[in-house]
Amino acid sequence: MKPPVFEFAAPDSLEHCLDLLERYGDEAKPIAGGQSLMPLLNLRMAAPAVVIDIARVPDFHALRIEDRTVRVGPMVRQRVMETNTDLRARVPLLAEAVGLIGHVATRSRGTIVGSMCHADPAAELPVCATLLGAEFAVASKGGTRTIDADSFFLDALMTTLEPEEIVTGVHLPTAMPGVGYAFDEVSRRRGDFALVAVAAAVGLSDDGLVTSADIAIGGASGRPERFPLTETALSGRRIEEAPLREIAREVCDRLEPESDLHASADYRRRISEELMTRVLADAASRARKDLTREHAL
Amino acid sequence: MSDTGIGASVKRKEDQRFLTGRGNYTDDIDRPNQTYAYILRSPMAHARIKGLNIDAAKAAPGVLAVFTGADTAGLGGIPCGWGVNNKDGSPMNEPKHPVLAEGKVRHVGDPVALVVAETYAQAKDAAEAIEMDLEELPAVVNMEKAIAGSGPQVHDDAPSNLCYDWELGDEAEVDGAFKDAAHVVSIDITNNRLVPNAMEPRAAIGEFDKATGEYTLYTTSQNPHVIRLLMGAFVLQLPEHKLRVVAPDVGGGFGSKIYHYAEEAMVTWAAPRVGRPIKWVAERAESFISDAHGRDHITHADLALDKEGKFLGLKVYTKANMGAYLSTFSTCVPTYLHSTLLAGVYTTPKIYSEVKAIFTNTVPVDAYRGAGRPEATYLLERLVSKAAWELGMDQVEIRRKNFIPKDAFPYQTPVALQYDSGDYDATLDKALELADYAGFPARKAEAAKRGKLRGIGFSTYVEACGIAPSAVVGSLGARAGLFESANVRVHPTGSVSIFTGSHSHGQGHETTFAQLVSDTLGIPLENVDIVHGDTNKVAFGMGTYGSRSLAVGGEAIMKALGKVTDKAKKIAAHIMEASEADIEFKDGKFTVSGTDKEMAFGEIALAAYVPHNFPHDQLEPGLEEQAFYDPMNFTFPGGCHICEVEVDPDTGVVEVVNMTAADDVGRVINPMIVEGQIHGGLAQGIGQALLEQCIYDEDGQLVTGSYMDYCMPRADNLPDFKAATTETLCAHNSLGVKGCGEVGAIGSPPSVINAVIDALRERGVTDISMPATPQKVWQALRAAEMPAAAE
Amino acid sequence: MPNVSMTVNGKQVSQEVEGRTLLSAFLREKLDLTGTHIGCDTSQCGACVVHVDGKSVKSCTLLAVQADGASVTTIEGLAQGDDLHPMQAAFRDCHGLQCGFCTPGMVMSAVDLLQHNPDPSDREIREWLEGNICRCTGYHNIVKAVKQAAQSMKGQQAAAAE
Repeated sequence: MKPPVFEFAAPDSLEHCLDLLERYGDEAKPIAGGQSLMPLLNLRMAAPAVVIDIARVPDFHALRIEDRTVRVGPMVRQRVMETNTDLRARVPLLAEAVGLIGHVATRSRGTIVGSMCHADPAAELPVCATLLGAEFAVASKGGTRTIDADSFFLDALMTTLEPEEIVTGVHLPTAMPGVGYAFDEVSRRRGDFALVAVAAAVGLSDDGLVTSADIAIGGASGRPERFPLTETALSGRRIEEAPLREIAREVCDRLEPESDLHASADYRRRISEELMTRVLADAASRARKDLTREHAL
Repeated sequence: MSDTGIGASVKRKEDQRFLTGRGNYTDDIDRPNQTYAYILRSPMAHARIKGLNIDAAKAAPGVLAVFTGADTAGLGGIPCGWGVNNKDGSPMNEPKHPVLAEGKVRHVGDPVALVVAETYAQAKDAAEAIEMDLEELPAVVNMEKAIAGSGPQVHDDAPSNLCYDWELGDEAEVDGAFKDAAHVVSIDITNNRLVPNAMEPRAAIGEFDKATGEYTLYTTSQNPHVIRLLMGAFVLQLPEHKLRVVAPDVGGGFGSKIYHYAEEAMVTWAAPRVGRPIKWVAERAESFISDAHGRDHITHADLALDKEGKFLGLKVYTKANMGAYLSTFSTCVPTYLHSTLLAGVYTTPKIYSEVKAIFTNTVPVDAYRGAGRPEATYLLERLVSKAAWELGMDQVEIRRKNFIPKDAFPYQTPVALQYDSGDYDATLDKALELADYAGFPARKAEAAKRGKLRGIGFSTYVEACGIAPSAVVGSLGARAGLFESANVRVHPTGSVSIFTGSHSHGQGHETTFAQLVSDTLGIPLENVDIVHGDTNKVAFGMGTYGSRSLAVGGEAIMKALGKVTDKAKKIAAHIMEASEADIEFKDGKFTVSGTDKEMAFGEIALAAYVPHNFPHDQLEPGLEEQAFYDPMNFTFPGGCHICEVEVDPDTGVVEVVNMTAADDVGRVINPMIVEGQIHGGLAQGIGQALLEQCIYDEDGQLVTGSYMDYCMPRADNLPDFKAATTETLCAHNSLGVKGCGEVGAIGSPPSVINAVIDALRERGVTDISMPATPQKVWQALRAAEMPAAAE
Repeated sequence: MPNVSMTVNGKQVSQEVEGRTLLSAFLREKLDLTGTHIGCDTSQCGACVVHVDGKSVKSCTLLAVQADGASVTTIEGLAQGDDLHPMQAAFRDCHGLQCGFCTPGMVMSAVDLLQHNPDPSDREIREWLEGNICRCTGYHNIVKAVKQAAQSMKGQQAAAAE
């Protein structure tokens, strides 16, 4: 038996869940898919007094695909992002990134919201949430509130969620017409946490000029960082004529990543730069395809 | 060739149970009334144990006993099986390796206390209640710092942390060869430290039978008889007839399960003290800090060449990390398994090798798949490729020019070995053809269009395996003979049980050995059972390592089978009333030459057990024979590995796109199994070259202590392999077999790194170390671009 | 102690367990289904892969209580009597196993792959299996086995459809 002793609770309603969180506060740890928490328990690097299994709360399994927003309940597995074609079409960025998280068998259990709440700075989904400006619906006994991604991620493995709060869903804006999305990362092996991960969204006008551009970078600091690029030399240009490398360098020079076992700060900075140029070009080319398709319709 | 005999790709007999979840690994065994052990280990690399308070742990729920070094101090130390002498002839420094730490801990993971409880969870929970009062001491992990003399001492009685300072050859004589050299090529090289990582974590169950006074140890071992010998005679002082060691199905070894480990002694020793069987199973995090690690050499070498590129002399200076204590075979790896291989496949006439073995505050280091030979091969093949690049010679040409020619065998090398057979041009030719060497420039040009740098790398190697000749290894310091035993028991109805001292932990002995029997006795494969892994069933054995199972264990079976057929002929002669000289045995039938009389093998077997009219003075009943086989020499597989990689110059990511292996492993008994062994070795070689590295920080903390940080090769890190064999027969065994278990891991790493360097050469990069991680490759490229700005 | 009930290889089981009991430990220790192996603590090696409600998961990072009410299939539940599942048969035919320790998890993962993708490419097989570490085979013959199983299962389906 690897994990330490804990009480196990499996509330069957949101109300019950919030009662438990209220009662135990930071002594409690909610478990959804458990793919971040269980390894920590097995290594006894986490020792909560109570583990609250939220899988029995029916509403938490909800996935609502609406016109402008996809509402993802905290028990929606990562694997759904690979198998649900409608969902993939609505949030193509997550569709591209999800296959890089762990392995199939961990994605079968791991949840989208769970990975975001774990807030590993090198994890894929927090980067996506940051780029898209996702919103986290949060509940506690005291009421509900909404936290946007920029305010949600605080530092490595830390969010602004209070101990008695739980995320009841993440709201992801759906892909906008004329905007292309791309995600890329460098890792030691596929499925490992990224050394750095970069996501981009690029919008084009009907005649192929850049109208909007954003990137988010993970693995380069304690939390994913978002950089709006609309006000740069990208705007109003065709992507192939834009000074991508210079813009990327200017952004990445501002990064202050840590050095660790797998990558130095300098390597992280320069690989971010390389990935950034790649994802901006990819995103723009997808936006162009999107426009072509729209015109064809 | 029959469809179950020698040369047939027979499907494995063992697979049915493994595929249906019915394998019987140590952790699958539960003994009646069993208890569970958890081992509290040192969190520090080096510390004085000032106090251990075990009161709370003893009082914890379910706890039956807590033992510390104070309880086990009277036991013998964990022994080292191989003595090595210093240059001056004095013996190596061999500090005690206690079962549980005594006074000091010397590496993270050093066992401090054994907690035995009703359940594993209770034992583990109780261990957390032990108060360890440790006074942290400065630790040393770096070999250069360790031998500097001024820093921390791992053992008080090993000055400058030196285990031994050993040499092979005459340095002055080799210096002479360098005087005539047109070129000298030098290299500084590190063979990265690895964690073997068999997928089955180690486990042990100790049991004591009060009624008979007999101890039983179930353990994850490659060699149960060796464990019985080492643990019984040296650590616990138990008589061998009262000690049974069982190694059931074992989930991979790769060397790491050769050694006698402290945990085996702990559970065996504690079983009578607790009065119940005790089971211990390592968690993976525990395996990382308690299984012997592999490799970890730092070497400087110089190669002297004449102006034509012919090798004149080689000097090699190696520092080898022993870790904190000497593991069973640790001392022979950098010496007798490494320096003796430094001739490689080449005619280099003069060779000198010096090895300093060094203690550090790290887990003990011992043999890992290849053991010494991968280190020698990596060094040589990097050096030879470097020489070719520096001299502007073709990689193939420099090798061919220096190969030992195929008509030169037996070939005496200047480093003690006599190679019996080989044809290095044949394996090279085969590999060039398989790898489509001629097509490489086109592939490189195509890759360049995609922005990728493509490189090709070579390794032509020989290795010494079938480790045995007792006389040879004895003269080199082995404290045991390394023969093998076999017993062939023919049952009355003609089925056969083979009792072998070899141990299968993935190699497929139950199939390959059965093929030998089927082929020799002409009986169906399903009538043959291979029994191994239990000292109460098998008379004796030295086990499986050093690619020795077929060349030594298989030959022992052949020898015993020869005795069986000899006796069976006598029986046949008696029954068919013929002269023994007229009996022929073929395809499972005994015939009397010149007549139509014949008896099947099964009929003779039955007669042997129903001996109603045997002449008592000439013929004993029964049909069972024992043999011990001690070979004349090592065997010498060799071959050529060619690797092709593509490098993304902007991220440093390396991809192996082609991996070709042409190996001469002697006669092939089961081609399917041989190919599988080669594949597995290649994967470990590529893993070492690109992914795997065991890293300690300066304080001796293991940084790569889980599968999240230690990069095991996964399916999508490896390509399909192109593997083929050529065949020269071993000249001194009956089957002509050489061994195939380690060739993949020995030959491949330099081919991968040479390929990476070849890819990067056009950008000015001349060196890259293992593992060639994206960051390392990227930095090498940047440094070559801007030498002044290099980090 | 919580009580868990689940269907394992078609049989209903019900036991009291500590909350912290991993599904892998529950299968091995309580149900004596020792075909599911434990090779690591961190969800990396895949030796413990079983199917929970038809999906491959790592039973070492799933609490038994989380699987309450679920249907679990382990390697022991794959063959029909002595008749191997086509994936098991293909592993034997292609020498896709050596020491056998990673094999149960590898086979269970591969079976799940073919449920989703009956005709995978080499690359798809290798990426799907990245959560299953094998130290023996170098994966070459495992990939071969999965392809062969895909072919033979297609054949079976075609035969069944006729």
